[in-house]
Amino acid sequence: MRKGRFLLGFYTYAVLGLLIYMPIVILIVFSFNDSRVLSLPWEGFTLRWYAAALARPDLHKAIWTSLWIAAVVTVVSLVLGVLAANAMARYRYRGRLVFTGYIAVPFVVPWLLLGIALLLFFNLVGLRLSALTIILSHIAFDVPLVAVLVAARMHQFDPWLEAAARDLGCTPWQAFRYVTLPIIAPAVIAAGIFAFNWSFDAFVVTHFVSGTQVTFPLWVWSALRFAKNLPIVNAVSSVIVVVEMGLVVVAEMLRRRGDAGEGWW
Amino acid sequence: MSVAGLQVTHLSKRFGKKVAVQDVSFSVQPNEFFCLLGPSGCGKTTILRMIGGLLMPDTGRVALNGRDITFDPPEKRDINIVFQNYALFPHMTVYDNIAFGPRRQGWPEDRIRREVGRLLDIAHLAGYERKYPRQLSGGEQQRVALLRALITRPQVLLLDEPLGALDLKIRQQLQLELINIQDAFHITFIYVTHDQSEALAMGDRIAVMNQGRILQIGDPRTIYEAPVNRFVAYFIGNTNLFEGTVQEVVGAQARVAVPEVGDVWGVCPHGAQALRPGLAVTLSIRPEKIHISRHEPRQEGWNRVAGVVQDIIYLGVSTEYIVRLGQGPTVRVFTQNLRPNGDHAEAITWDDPVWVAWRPAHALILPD
Repeated sequence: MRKGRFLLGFYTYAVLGLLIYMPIVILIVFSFNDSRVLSLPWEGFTLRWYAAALARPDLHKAIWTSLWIAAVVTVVSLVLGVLAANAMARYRYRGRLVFTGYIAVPFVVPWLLLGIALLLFFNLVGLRLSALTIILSHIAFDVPLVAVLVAARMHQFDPWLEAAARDLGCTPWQAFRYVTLPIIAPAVIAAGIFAFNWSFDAFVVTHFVSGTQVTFPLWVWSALRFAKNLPIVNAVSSVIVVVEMGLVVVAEMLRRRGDAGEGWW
Repeated sequence: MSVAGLQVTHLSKRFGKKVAVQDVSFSVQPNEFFCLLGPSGCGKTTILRMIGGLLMPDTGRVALNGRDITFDPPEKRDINIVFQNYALFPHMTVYDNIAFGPRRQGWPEDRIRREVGRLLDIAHLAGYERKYPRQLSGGEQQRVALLRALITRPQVLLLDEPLGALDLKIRQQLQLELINIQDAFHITFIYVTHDQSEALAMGDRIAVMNQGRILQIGDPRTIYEAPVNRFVAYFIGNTNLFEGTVQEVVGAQARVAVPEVGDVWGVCPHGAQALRPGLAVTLSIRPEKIHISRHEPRQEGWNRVAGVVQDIIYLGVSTEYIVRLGQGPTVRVFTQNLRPNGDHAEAITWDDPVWVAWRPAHALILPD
C-alpha cells in the first residue's frame, strides 16, 4: 500500500517534471547559452540574446499589440462573463441549454475550427480583418472561461445573502455591488488573469482573424522561420513564461482563498 | 379606512403542481408576538417570504397599516427578516453588518456608531465590532442578525426559525431575550417555528398550520386547551387520542363509545351543536389531566377505566405512566413529583392494576 502510493507519487512527479517543467527549464537555461543552436555543449553564459530581443522594434510592436488587445479583451470578458456566471448560477430560463452549450465551446471545440468559423463569420457580415476582429474573437472564447471560473464560486455563495441585502434596503444593483461582488472578487480577479493569459497566448484563432496585425504569438511564429532568430525567441519566451507563471500562481492563490469563503480580506 | 397592523388575506402560492400555501388569511396587531407554527414543509416559511417581499403570491393581498404592499419590492417595505441561517455578510465585520441597513437609509455615520454601540451593549456583544461572522458562535451570530434587522426599527420583524440551529440552553436564554427586545422596541414580531413549546412560550397568538392551510389561530391557552381538530391536539403538546362514535348528546356533553375502552363522557370545545349520535369522532385527553390511583376513584361524574401499568418513565419534574386499558389501547398519564423522594403517593409500580380517571370537561371531542 505504502509502496504503491510512493510509486504513484513518483510517477506523477516524473511526468510533471519531464513533460511540463523540463522543457521550460531547458528553454530558460539555453536562453543564457552563448550559442546560436539550442543544444549542448554549453558555450558560456551570455545576456546578448536578451539584448538582441530588446533591440527589435518589430518585437516591441508585437508585444504591445498583444498587451493592449489582451487588456481590452479582459475588461469586456470580465463584465460579460460575470453576468453570464450570475445567470448560470441563479436562474432557470428558456434557452439555458443553448447558453450552457456556448459556455462549453472553448473547452470542447478544436481551436482550429473555432478560428475558421470566426473567419467565415467575419467574411459573411463583411467585417474587415483588423485588431477589432482579433478582439471579438478573443472575447468569444474568454467569456466562457470567466463564466466557468466565477460560476464555480457563485455556486458556493449563499443566495440568501442577496435576499438579506434587498431586505435591508438595497436595489438589485446595490445588492450585487455591496454583497455579491466583494465576495466573488477573488474569483473575478483570478478569472481576469486567466482571461488575459488566454488572449495574450492565443495563436490558432488569432492566426485566422488577424489580417495585417501582428500579435506576439504571430511574431514568434514568423520569426521561427529564420534559424538566426531562434535564440531571440528563446530569450523573450523565457521572460514571458516566467511572468505568466507568476500571474497564474497569484490567480490560483486568489481563487483558493475565495473558495475558502474568506472573501477578500 | 386605515387598519393598524399587518393583514394577510386569501394568500395562495403554488410551486409547479405543489400547493405550498392555500387561501391563508390572518391579521397581526401592532406590537403583537405572532407565531406561525407547523411541521416542516407546511408553508409557514413561504408565507414569511411573501410578507417580506422575497416571493410574490399567486393570489391574495398583504397590507401594512391599510396600505397594499403585495407587490412592493423588499427594499420598499418597512419589514425586515431574520433569516434561518442568519445570512450575515461574511466579508463584513459585525459593525458593518449591523450598519448595513442604516447606511442604505443614509444615516450620518456618528448616529450609526452611537446606535450600533448601544445595541451591542444591550445584546451583550460590546467589543465585538471588529469581529467577522465566522469568528462568532451560533448564538452570537443569531444576535448580530437580530440587531442588523432591528436597528432601523422596522414596523414588522419576520423571524424564520431563528433559534432552530442552537443548543437547548442557549435557545431558552435567547427566547427570553427576544421577548424582552420585542417589548423594548415595540415592534411586531412574526415568528416561524416548528417547535410547539417555543410557540407556546413566546407567542401572544399562534397560528397552527398544516399542508398550506391555517387550522387554528388563538392564544396559547386556547390552542392547547381547546384545539379545533385532531391535528392541532396532536401537534401541540402531548395527548392521548382515541377514536370513537357518538352515542348520545346531553347538553354540552356527549357520550362516546370507544372500542376496548368503553363509554367516555366528553365535551366538544367548540360547542356540541355539531354532534349527533353515530358521528365518528376523536377524543383527546391530555396526560396531565388524568388521575392515576390503585383504588377505584369516587369522584362523581368522572370517567374511570381500569388498566395495568406497563411502563414508568421518570422525568425529574414529573413521572409518566403508560397504562394498558384492558386488552385495548394504552394511555399516557403524567403526575407531578411533589414528594421529596419523587415517589408517587401510593408507590405504583410495574404490572400494578390501577384506575385512571378524568373529568368529562378534559375529554375533548374533536370531529375528524
